[in-house]
Amino acid sequence: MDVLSELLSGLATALTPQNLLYAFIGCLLGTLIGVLPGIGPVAGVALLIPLTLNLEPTSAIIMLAAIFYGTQYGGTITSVLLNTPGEAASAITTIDGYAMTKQGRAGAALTIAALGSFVGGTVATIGLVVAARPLGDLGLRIGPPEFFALMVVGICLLVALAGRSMTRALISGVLGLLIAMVGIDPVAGAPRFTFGSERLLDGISFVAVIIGLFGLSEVLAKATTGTSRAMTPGLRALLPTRTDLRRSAPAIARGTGIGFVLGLIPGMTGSVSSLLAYGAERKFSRHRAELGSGAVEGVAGPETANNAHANGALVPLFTLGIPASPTIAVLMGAFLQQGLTPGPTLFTEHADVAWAIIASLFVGNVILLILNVPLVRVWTAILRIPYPVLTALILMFMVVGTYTINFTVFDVFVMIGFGLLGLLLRRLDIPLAPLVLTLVLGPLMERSLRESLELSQGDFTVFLTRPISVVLLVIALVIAASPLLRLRKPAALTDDPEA
Amino acid sequence: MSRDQAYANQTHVPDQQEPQTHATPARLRTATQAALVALAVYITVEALSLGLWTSFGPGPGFFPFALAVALGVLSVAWFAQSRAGRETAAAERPDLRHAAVVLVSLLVLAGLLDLLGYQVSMFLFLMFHLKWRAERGWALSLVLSVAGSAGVFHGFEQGLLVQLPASAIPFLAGLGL
Repeated sequence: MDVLSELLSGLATALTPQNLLYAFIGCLLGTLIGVLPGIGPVAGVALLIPLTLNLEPTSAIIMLAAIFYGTQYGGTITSVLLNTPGEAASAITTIDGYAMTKQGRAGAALTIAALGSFVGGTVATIGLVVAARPLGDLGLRIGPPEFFALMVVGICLLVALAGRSMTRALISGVLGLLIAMVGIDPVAGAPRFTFGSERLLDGISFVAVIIGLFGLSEVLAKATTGTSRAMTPGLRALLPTRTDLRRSAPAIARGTGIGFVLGLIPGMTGSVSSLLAYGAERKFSRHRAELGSGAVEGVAGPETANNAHANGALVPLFTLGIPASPTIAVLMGAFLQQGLTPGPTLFTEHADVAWAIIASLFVGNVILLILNVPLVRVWTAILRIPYPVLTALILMFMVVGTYTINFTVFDVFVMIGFGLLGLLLRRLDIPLAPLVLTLVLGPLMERSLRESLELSQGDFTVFLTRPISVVLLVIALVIAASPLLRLRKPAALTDDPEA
Repeated sequence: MSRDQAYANQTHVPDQQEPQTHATPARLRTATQAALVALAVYITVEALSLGLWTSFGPGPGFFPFALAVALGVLSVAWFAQSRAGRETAAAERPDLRHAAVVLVSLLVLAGLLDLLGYQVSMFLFLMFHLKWRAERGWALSLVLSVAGSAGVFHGFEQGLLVQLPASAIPFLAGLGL
């Protein structure tokens, strides 16, 4: 079957009433998570994994993918209406988005953001369709040594771009790998670091760790510093003018290119894309002088880049099994829980599922567009709920979400423990993103390392005698030396909780 | 001053231009570095007992051993960097009381979940947070607490076919709680 017929077949699956409903619910919940302060996309997606456990794999991943890109748009709403980004990638949108709100043009800003998100997300999904087969075929030709080297590259990229100190980012990455070691050894079957507890034989619950590290620690951190609240302005005009649309078109085009390309690179978070897209507007827009005072390009560019990035980041996941960001790592965890291994084998062993999920991305982008413009008033109303009340409800969902993974209170205690650890790591300025990535990749990385060494009968030069592996390790070395080469992330992005 | 105003006053809207300091408290940092070194030592010992190498290749302790060595080296490097003055220490302490209250309430909830069941323990948890912490009115607190406890319990049971814990106390279990 060629790509088009596979995609059409996937579309038929994605368009069944049941999957449409799950995509709709996912978009709705994702947007809600993006809107709510104190719960970012990483914890949000992890929190909602339990809801999908009883679903069949295709429906479950369709819903989680919809939640994932729904969060991207949800963050925009608070950026535009409240000058408070719901998630880090929308932070830059506050500048012109909130300025437009003060001019009574919040509706136009949100509609342009929705349109840009739709275009960016759709084009990036087309990119995924085009790249899926060739990259997947390439992925099938690589053995354990190359796979290990590839994961080293992914981790190095994320570590190099995370936080202010590579030492602390590496510590975070090693901690994630060590947490992943708890449980039964995947090769020899020996229990490791279980302290004699049967509960730990299956390892530490991934969802409990993520909800604790990202969700609970965020709530705890906000409990120590407070959070912002602002009055919600009214929406005078919902639809943008023809001038708005004309001015936004080039910004949307630039944002799409930037977001998609950067989304392919592990370690690049959506905030990098949106910031660079804003930078591109400052350089290339014909109305750059107006940026900062309510220019529509300042909303269109970053918001398009943000969504193109989110969908572009699925390319390395689907084709090589490498999560490009913490949220994608959580999504990968959900794949694994459903018995699906993202990567090249996904297209050979579960082609129907893979193409149905890809097709659902197109459907989801349409749903988001239809859903978000009329629902802006609903989201605004939710933002009027006082934060302490939201906190109580968020905590309730965290407890329910964690408990329902394995139906044991033990996981709730694990979640609380990791919430405390997350607060400590935040306080020590240790980035959380490398930990999440290595937590997911840990077992795969260990397996490929050990398989490589078994194949070579213990000869470590196996990584240096295979061309692809050597090239990848050299790339990893260059990335690891990036602080010396000044390839570090701009200081403005270091507050990104995703990084 | 209303409770929402009071709440808003203890908060601030982030300013794009505001320079942020991310200094780390020195004592906490040193204690963490020591704890990480201790963890590295523990894992090294455990990994050695698991076996680093077998006749087939790397053993179960091989990868954790490598990670433990890396963790130890990185922790020492972090310590050296902070001693060399590349990191500044924060002078002020954050107010951790609210975080402590949230944590303790969660621990109590987790501890009571199997005993009292989801509905009773979550009702008490939500009432505590809504009525006493958030200082909402009785009506709103009760409505939200009942919705979050009994409502979520039955919603999960009937809508998602997911069973949340029932009480281990026969009397409460007999009441359907």
